Amino acid sequence: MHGKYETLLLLDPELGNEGSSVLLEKFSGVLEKNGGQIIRNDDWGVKTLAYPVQKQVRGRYIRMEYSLPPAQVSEFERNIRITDGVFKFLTVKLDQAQDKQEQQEVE
Amino acid sequence: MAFKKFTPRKKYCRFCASREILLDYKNVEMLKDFITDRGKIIARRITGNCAKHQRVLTTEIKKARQMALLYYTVTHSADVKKKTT
Repeated sequence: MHGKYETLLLLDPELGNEGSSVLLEKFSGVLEKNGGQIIRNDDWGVKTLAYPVQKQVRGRYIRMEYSLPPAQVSEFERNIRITDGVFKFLTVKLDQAQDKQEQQEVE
Repeated sequence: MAFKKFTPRKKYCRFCASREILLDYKNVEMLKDFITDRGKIIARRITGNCAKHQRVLTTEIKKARQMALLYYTVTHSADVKKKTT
Protein backbone atom coordinates (compact mmCIF):
# COMPACT_ATOMS: atom_id res chain seq x y z
CA MET A 1 0.00 0.00 0.00
CA HIS A 2 1.34 3.39 -0.94
CA GLY A 3 0.79 6.42 1.19
CA LYS A 4 0.35 9.89 -0.16
CA TYR A 5 2.83 12.44 1.08
CA GLU A 6 3.81 15.98 0.41
CA THR A 7 7.17 17.59 1.00
CA LEU A 8 7.68 21.31 1.17
CA LEU A 9 11.23 22.20 0.26
CA LEU A 10 12.89 25.50 1.07
CA LEU A 11 15.74 26.00 -1.36
CA ASP A 12 18.59 28.46 -1.62
CA PRO A 13 17.44 31.39 -3.82
CA GLU A 14 20.90 31.58 -5.36
CA LEU A 15 20.31 28.27 -7.13
CA GLY A 16 18.05 30.03 -9.59
CA ASN A 17 15.49 28.36 -11.82
CA GLU A 18 17.92 25.94 -13.40
CA GLY A 19 19.56 24.84 -10.19
CA SER A 20 16.25 24.13 -8.52
CA SER A 21 14.92 22.16 -11.47
CA VAL A 22 18.10 20.06 -11.41
CA LEU A 23 17.44 19.35 -7.73
CA LEU A 24 13.82 18.51 -8.45
CA GLU A 25 14.85 16.06 -11.15
CA LYS A 26 17.26 14.45 -8.76
CA PHE A 27 14.55 14.00 -6.14
CA SER A 28 12.12 12.69 -8.73
CA GLY A 29 14.73 10.12 -9.72
CA VAL A 30 15.13 9.04 -6.10
CA LEU A 31 11.37 8.74 -5.71
CA GLU A 32 10.91 6.63 -8.80
CA LYS A 33 13.83 4.40 -7.90
CA ASN A 34 12.15 3.63 -4.58
CA GLY A 35 8.84 2.73 -6.12
CA GLY A 36 7.19 6.10 -5.74
CA GLN A 37 5.18 8.17 -8.12
CA ILE A 38 5.05 11.94 -8.42
CA ILE A 39 1.58 13.40 -8.42
CA ARG A 40 2.48 17.03 -8.84
CA ASN A 41 5.21 19.55 -8.26
CA ASP A 42 4.26 23.01 -7.22
CA ASP A 43 6.71 25.90 -7.47
CA TRP A 44 5.78 28.82 -5.25
CA GLY A 45 8.69 30.89 -6.49
CA VAL A 46 11.13 32.95 -4.46
CA LYS A 47 9.48 34.39 -1.36
CA THR A 48 10.58 36.53 1.53
CA LEU A 49 11.07 34.40 4.62
CA ALA A 50 9.50 35.17 7.96
CA TYR A 51 12.92 34.98 9.57
CA PRO A 52 16.42 34.63 8.11
CA VAL A 53 17.51 31.06 7.40
CA GLN A 54 21.25 30.51 6.99
CA LYS A 55 21.57 34.30 6.84
CA GLN A 56 19.30 34.51 3.80
CA VAL A 57 16.07 36.49 3.96
CA ARG A 58 14.67 34.97 0.77
CA GLY A 59 14.07 31.41 -0.32
CA ARG A 60 12.40 29.33 -2.99
CA TYR A 61 9.53 27.13 -1.92
CA ILE A 62 8.71 23.98 -3.85
CA ARG A 63 5.95 21.62 -2.87
CA MET A 64 6.17 18.01 -4.04
CA GLU A 65 3.20 15.70 -3.85
CA TYR A 66 3.84 12.00 -4.36
CA SER A 67 2.89 8.49 -3.37
CA LEU A 68 5.54 6.32 -1.81
CA PRO A 69 5.70 3.13 0.26
CA PRO A 70 5.83 4.27 3.90
CA ALA A 71 9.13 2.49 4.56
CA GLN A 72 10.84 4.54 1.86
CA VAL A 73 9.98 7.96 3.25
CA SER A 74 12.96 8.08 5.59
CA GLU A 75 15.23 7.10 2.70
CA PHE A 76 13.83 9.97 0.65
CA GLU A 77 14.32 12.37 3.54
CA ARG A 78 17.89 11.18 3.93
CA ASN A 79 18.51 12.07 0.30
CA ILE A 80 17.08 15.54 0.83
CA ARG A 81 19.20 16.04 3.91
CA ILE A 82 22.50 15.31 2.14
CA THR A 83 21.72 17.62 -0.76
CA ASP A 84 23.33 21.04 -0.85
CA GLY A 85 21.11 24.06 -1.33
CA VAL A 86 18.17 22.76 0.68
CA PHE A 87 17.59 25.03 3.69
CA LYS A 88 14.60 23.29 5.21
CA PHE A 89 12.05 20.65 4.36
CA LEU A 90 8.87 19.29 5.86
CA THR A 91 7.17 16.03 4.93
CA VAL A 92 3.51 15.59 5.77
CA LYS A 93 1.32 12.56 5.22
CA LEU A 94 -1.77 13.54 3.32
CA ASP A 95 -5.23 12.60 4.43
CA GLN A 96 -6.49 9.72 2.30
CA ALA A 97 -10.12 10.13 3.32
CA GLN A 98 -10.18 13.77 2.25
CA ASP A 99 -8.61 12.78 -1.02
CA LYS A 100 -11.33 10.26 -1.81
CA GLN A 101 -13.92 12.91 -1.09
CA GLU A 102 -12.26 15.26 -3.56
CA GLN A 103 -12.19 12.55 -6.19
CA GLN A 104 -15.86 11.86 -5.73
CA GLU A 105 -16.59 15.52 -6.15
CA VAL A 106 -14.64 15.57 -9.39
CA GLU A 107 -16.52 12.54 -10.66
CA MET B 1 -32.55 49.63 32.07
CA ALA B 2 -30.02 51.15 34.35
CA PHE B 3 -28.16 47.94 35.00
CA LYS B 4 -28.16 46.49 31.55
CA LYS B 5 -25.07 44.33 31.23
CA PHE B 6 -22.80 44.52 28.23
CA THR B 7 -23.24 41.29 26.29
CA PRO B 8 -20.41 40.54 23.90
CA ARG B 9 -21.16 38.87 20.62
CA LYS B 10 -21.28 35.10 20.85
CA LYS B 11 -18.01 33.55 19.73
CA TYR B 12 -18.03 30.49 17.55
CA CYS B 13 -15.52 28.13 16.04
CA ARG B 14 -14.79 29.25 12.51
CA PHE B 15 -13.69 25.80 11.40
CA CYS B 16 -16.83 24.10 12.67
CA ALA B 17 -19.01 26.71 11.00
CA SER B 18 -17.44 26.33 7.59
CA ARG B 19 -15.83 23.17 6.25
CA GLU B 20 -14.49 25.24 3.38
CA ILE B 21 -11.64 26.72 5.45
CA LEU B 22 -8.69 24.38 5.08
CA LEU B 23 -6.81 24.04 8.34
CA ASP B 24 -3.39 23.72 6.82
CA TYR B 25 0.10 25.05 7.48
CA LYS B 26 0.32 26.31 3.90
CA ASN B 27 -2.68 28.58 4.38
CA VAL B 28 -0.59 31.30 6.02
CA GLU B 29 -3.03 34.19 5.62
CA MET B 30 -5.66 32.24 7.56
CA LEU B 31 -3.19 31.28 10.30
CA LYS B 32 -2.27 34.92 10.75
CA ASP B 33 -5.75 35.56 12.11
CA PHE B 34 -4.95 33.34 15.06
CA ILE B 35 -1.60 34.78 16.11
CA THR B 36 -0.77 38.12 17.69
CA ASP B 37 1.49 40.75 16.12
CA ARG B 38 4.28 39.28 18.17
CA GLY B 39 3.65 35.84 16.74
CA LYS B 40 2.01 34.27 19.77
CA ILE B 41 -0.85 31.84 19.31
CA ILE B 42 -4.09 33.37 20.58
CA ALA B 43 -5.91 31.36 23.24
CA ARG B 44 -9.15 29.73 22.23
CA ARG B 45 -10.76 31.54 25.13
CA ILE B 46 -10.33 34.66 22.99
CA THR B 47 -10.89 33.31 19.50
CA GLY B 48 -13.75 31.00 20.37
CA ASN B 49 -12.33 27.96 18.59
CA CYS B 50 -13.42 24.54 19.74
CA ALA B 51 -10.88 22.33 21.49
CA LYS B 52 -10.57 19.94 18.58
CA HIS B 53 -9.75 22.60 16.02
CA GLN B 54 -7.54 24.61 18.34
CA ARG B 55 -5.42 21.50 18.80
CA VAL B 56 -5.00 21.09 15.05
CA LEU B 57 -4.46 24.83 14.60
CA THR B 58 -1.55 25.00 17.03
CA THR B 59 0.29 22.15 15.29
CA GLU B 60 -0.29 23.76 11.90
CA ILE B 61 1.02 27.11 13.15
CA LYS B 62 4.10 25.35 14.50
CA LYS B 63 4.66 23.64 11.16
CA ALA B 64 4.42 26.99 9.40
CA ARG B 65 6.98 28.41 11.84
CA GLN B 66 9.37 25.56 11.07
CA MET B 67 9.20 26.30 7.37
CA ALA B 68 9.81 30.06 7.88
CA LEU B 69 6.29 30.89 6.70
CA LEU B 70 5.60 32.52 10.07
CA TYR B 71 8.05 33.91 12.59
CA TYR B 72 8.54 32.53 16.08
CA THR B 73 8.89 35.99 17.64
CA VAL B 74 9.08 39.46 16.14
CA THR B 75 12.66 39.96 17.21
CA HIS B 76 13.63 37.07 14.95
CA SER B 77 11.56 38.23 12.00
CA ALA B 78 13.21 39.22 8.74
CA ASP B 79 11.72 42.74 8.96
CA VAL B 80 13.51 43.47 12.22
CA LYS B 81 16.79 42.08 10.93
CA LYS B 82 16.59 44.36 7.90
CA LYS B 83 16.11 47.46 10.05
CA THR B 84 19.02 46.71 12.35
CA THR B 85 21.57 45.97 9.64
